[in-house]
Amino acid sequence: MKTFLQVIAIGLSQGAVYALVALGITLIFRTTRILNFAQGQILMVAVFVSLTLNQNALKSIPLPIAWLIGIGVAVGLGVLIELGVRPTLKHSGSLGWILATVGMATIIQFIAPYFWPADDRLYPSPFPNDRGIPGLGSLFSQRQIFTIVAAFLLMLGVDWLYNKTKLGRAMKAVAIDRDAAALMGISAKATVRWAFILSAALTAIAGFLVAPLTFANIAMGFDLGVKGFVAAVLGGIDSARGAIAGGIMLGIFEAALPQVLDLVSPNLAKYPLPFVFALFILVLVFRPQGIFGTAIREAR
Amino acid sequence: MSTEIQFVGSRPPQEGITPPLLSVNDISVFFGPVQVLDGVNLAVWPGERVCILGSNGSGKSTTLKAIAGLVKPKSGTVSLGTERIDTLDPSQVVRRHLSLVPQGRRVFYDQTVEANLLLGAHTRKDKGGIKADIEGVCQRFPRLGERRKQLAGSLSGGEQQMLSIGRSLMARPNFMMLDEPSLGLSPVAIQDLFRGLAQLSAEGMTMLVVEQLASHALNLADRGYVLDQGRVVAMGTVEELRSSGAVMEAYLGKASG
Repeated sequence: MKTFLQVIAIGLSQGAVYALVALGITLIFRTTRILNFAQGQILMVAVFVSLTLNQNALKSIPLPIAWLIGIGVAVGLGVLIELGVRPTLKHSGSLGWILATVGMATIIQFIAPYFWPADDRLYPSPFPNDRGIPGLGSLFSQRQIFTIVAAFLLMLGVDWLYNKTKLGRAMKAVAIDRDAAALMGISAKATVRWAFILSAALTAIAGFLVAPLTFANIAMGFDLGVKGFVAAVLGGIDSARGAIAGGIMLGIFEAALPQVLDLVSPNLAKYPLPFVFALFILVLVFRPQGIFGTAIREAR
Repeated sequence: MSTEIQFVGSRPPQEGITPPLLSVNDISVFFGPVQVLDGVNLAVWPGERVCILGSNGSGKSTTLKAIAGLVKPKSGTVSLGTERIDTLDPSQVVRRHLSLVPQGRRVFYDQTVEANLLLGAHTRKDKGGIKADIEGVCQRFPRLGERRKQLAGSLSGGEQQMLSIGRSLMARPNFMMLDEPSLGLSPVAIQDLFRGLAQLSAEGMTMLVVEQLASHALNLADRGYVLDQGRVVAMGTVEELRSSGAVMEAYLGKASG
């Protein structure tokens, strides 16, 4: 029973983070029908910028301010990527965005070691002396609860943005038909810019929430980027709720997997990742629109 | 190529008396090396109903797109009142109360009827007015009212055309351009459509309509221009255009009836 609850706790907190990364991916996809493959790298840079500012020998900057600066840098990178893909968005069917975003991811990943060492580093939490939640024993740590609650609030925000706001409707309209959107007075340029800005900010926050639970490592961007993508596709890449469900499912699946595999063979339990991808492939084969998504109809 | 008008009926009656609402001056448009418009001139006065006729590929749609800002003329100007609008982004043109209902309806098929109407009001901030205008559109087109929460993609062609027009109305235009509104509609839907357009016009809407169904367009309009290969080859009142056998036969088939 205890193991089961622990699996849920870890699964929920990790899953909430995957969901946030997935939401960042869907924000851009919803507006442009492209995938930003540098999403994980943005997360990593935001984590390390804030970490360096907060923990350095010269002058420690308080965590909340370090977070804000980290978000600022992430947004800067997001806008840079948006400028990179902008020329390719005008021609539907162009695959230039793959080069632009994968290229950006590669560049960031290659530059990072010049700034930060490649080892695991502890990331500060708003709860430095974490004694767990009273009454729950050591089941849920305070930081896990913090991560889950913060992530859910952000998810509600994105859901509200999608369904209740002008910008949310405009994003969808721009993706379907840029010209028709322009005739409504919607500037595609501004809408796409907003999608990249919000996506980068969301991704940075996902990094701040996950790093205290794991470690900060300059390779973390790749891992979280891939899993965020898996979560987004699992749930249905076009919908906020789908991305959330996909993230949580992936988190719990991943947390439960070693326990289940351990029953079969302790050796298998060391390698959970192939099973994550196996699940991913199964979903792609049997339900390519995602578990909660609706199929995207080709425009005319 | 020289711009020779082969048939000129009467000039617009307001010409030289009052300034036009819209004037298109000598615009030329190229798609790559292909010239689509070759020095097109036309003008529309407030409250008028003007149609542009011509066969496929004559440049009718491109003319409307150039006015709306979707394509940029290589030379020539487009003015609305005294302001030049040919340099503006289309999202700015609609803010000047000039709307284009695009060919093929182009509704946002993965959003509801209501969301489509709200998108039409994107340039506005008056929440109460927007709400009232949505009710107004639903009264004008009761079918839309019944299908408010349905996805636009699930509507019939005629309903989508109503939605496309309703969506444009949400920006509170005083000048509406329509690009082939009857395309792909059933005869009954076409009758409904032109009844709706006549109603709008009676309420004072200025209209510039591109139409392949010359008979419907001529019934609706006061004046018309005929385009051929990117040039204005004829203009005049609808009576004049109708009675000019040469024009009808050369450019419009036998659609005079």
